[in-house]
Amino acid sequence: MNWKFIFNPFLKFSERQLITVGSLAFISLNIVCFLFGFKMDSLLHFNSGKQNSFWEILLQNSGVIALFTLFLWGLGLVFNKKTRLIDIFNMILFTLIPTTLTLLLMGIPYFNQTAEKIANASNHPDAVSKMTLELAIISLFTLFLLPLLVYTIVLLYNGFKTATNIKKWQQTALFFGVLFLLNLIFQILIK
Amino acid sequence: MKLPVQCPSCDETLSVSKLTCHHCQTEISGDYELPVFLQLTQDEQDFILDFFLNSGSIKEMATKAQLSYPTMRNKMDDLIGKIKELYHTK
Repeated sequence: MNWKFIFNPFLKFSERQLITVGSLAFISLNIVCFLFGFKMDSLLHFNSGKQNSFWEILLQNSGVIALFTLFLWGLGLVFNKKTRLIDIFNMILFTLIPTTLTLLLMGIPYFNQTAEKIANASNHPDAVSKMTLELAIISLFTLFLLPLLVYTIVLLYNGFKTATNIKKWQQTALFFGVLFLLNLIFQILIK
Repeated sequence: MKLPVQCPSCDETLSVSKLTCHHCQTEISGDYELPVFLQLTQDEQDFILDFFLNSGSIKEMATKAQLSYPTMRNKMDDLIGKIKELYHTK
């Protein structure tokens, strides 16, 4: 397997193959969200806590994905009039694979309990400094989570680049600017 | 045998200075600019011919090359850009 296609599967695979894999990722994401109590409030952020019904989760996740697809397609059209909606949609669906893995890791009860323990003790620096094992565990989890987050961003960028054929650094900067701005706006609006 | 189109010393486009008839040995000398199609690399020329032989279907080309449609379309757009630039500099 060529490493190039791991980081940019949009170069090689047809839209049918991508949408099949992406759809499976979407279904898995919703199941994981339901099992662990997560809900998408933007493409790169999930909120947790309240237990929601599967249909509520499905509806909100679908809405966020649909709106992000439309906004990024709009941006794509600004750069290249030939940008197809299906390519942007496939890009977003495919990035749900590392997202689902991230949620699976974050949903591990031991990780959650440890993170909560550290958060509760954060007002007492002395207590935190004594929690060596807990800090080591969180650091280990972060070692797994960070590459997944980086992979998500790489897939988003490579997918967008393939769909729109952008070449200038200004276009790349605008893409990331719009992506993070949308994430922020969605997190504020969906509360 | 590949037709060289770029000078190996200064990277400028080569032009044709002599044509020979293999039948009657007539030689024609001059300074003839290469047509735009021949100023492209061999891969680019093959790409255009493939496009023509696939009846102008990028989708079919993508399937045969085992690449995605947007990848093929981007290649096409880049080549169109290059050809427009070559026409512009003529």
